[in-house]
Amino acid sequence: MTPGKKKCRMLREIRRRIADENDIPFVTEECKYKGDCKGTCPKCESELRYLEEQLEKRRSLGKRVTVAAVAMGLAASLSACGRQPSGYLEGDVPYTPETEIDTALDGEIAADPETTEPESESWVQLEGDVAYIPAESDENAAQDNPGEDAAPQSDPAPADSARNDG
Amino acid sequence: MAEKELLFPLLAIDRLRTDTDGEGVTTLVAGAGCPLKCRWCINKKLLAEKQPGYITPEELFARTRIDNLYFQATGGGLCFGGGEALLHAGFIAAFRDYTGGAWRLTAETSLNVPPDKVRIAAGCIDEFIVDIKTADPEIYRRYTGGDNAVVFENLRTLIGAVGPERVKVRVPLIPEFNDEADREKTVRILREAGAERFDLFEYRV
Repeated sequence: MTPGKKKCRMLREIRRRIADENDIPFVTEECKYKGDCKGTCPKCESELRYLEEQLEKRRSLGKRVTVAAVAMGLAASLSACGRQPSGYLEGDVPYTPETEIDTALDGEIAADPETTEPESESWVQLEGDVAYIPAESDENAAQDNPGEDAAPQSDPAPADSARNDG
Repeated sequence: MAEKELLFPLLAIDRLRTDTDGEGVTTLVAGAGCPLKCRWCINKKLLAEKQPGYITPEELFARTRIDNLYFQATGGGLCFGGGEALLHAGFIAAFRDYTGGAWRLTAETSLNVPPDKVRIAAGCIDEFIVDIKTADPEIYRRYTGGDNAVVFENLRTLIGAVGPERVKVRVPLIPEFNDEADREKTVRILREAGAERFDLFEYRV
């Protein structure tokens, strides 16, 4: 399986877990596209938008919403299968304004449309001529799961929300 | 805080990364500006030629929140790189103030920055990935063109402020510049400085 397909599958699994955790009906199907991809596509991101909308509905109804840490470790499991070299960007997904969706959650800061227009000339996907070869790990903590004590507990929110400084 | 520090010189945004930038799904946010001129710099051409666009914390949030659910579900968030991320510590602090604590913030840094930047960063960044190069001043100078006198002092400051568990130090084998013996010596010095987490690797050039 190509790296993009693996990433696609991982992201779909994250969406599925969020849906399950919040009792959201979520029907998804295996991607039929045969070639490699960047791990996401308009269809995948429409599913993400659907989840956001459903979570927002639950909030407005006063129902419980659980997102934080429902898929902890999933990204690391993907990495264990095909670790990307650090600093090496080939195959990653650049920001693309065409796929931007409104993912504002309850309590988020609504972005000012005047200031959110992408400046398409101001950034590019990085290129690299140097990658690295992991040779050895000497971490006391699990290498692919650093800082597990800092799991986020809330949606992005204004200044008074809890930090992860601990 | 100076108004200038609340603007970030954005060079690139790279979504849906895993593994390389810390926990979970992350978006790399690369900024311009670096005090070093490393021989094998991965982004030398970009840093030299690309004109950054300056954005506010609000604008960065708007550009990255598309992956909010992925960040929260996996314990991921943004990784600030570049360039030297801690040159923009004031901006990152403002971004943290704006977004709160739900996203994990990581910074890739050489720690070759003024000490006040390290103190600001310690208060707003969850994990630091420190590219230390080498402890040998002469090899460091030849490879980066810079002086590493401040680096180890900053490392001690950082570890003292946030604890060794939030600091991962990357120690490379640098072709044509150092060798395994130098790397082992660097690791010993790093341990003496309080570092506990290491990523040993080799530059591929």
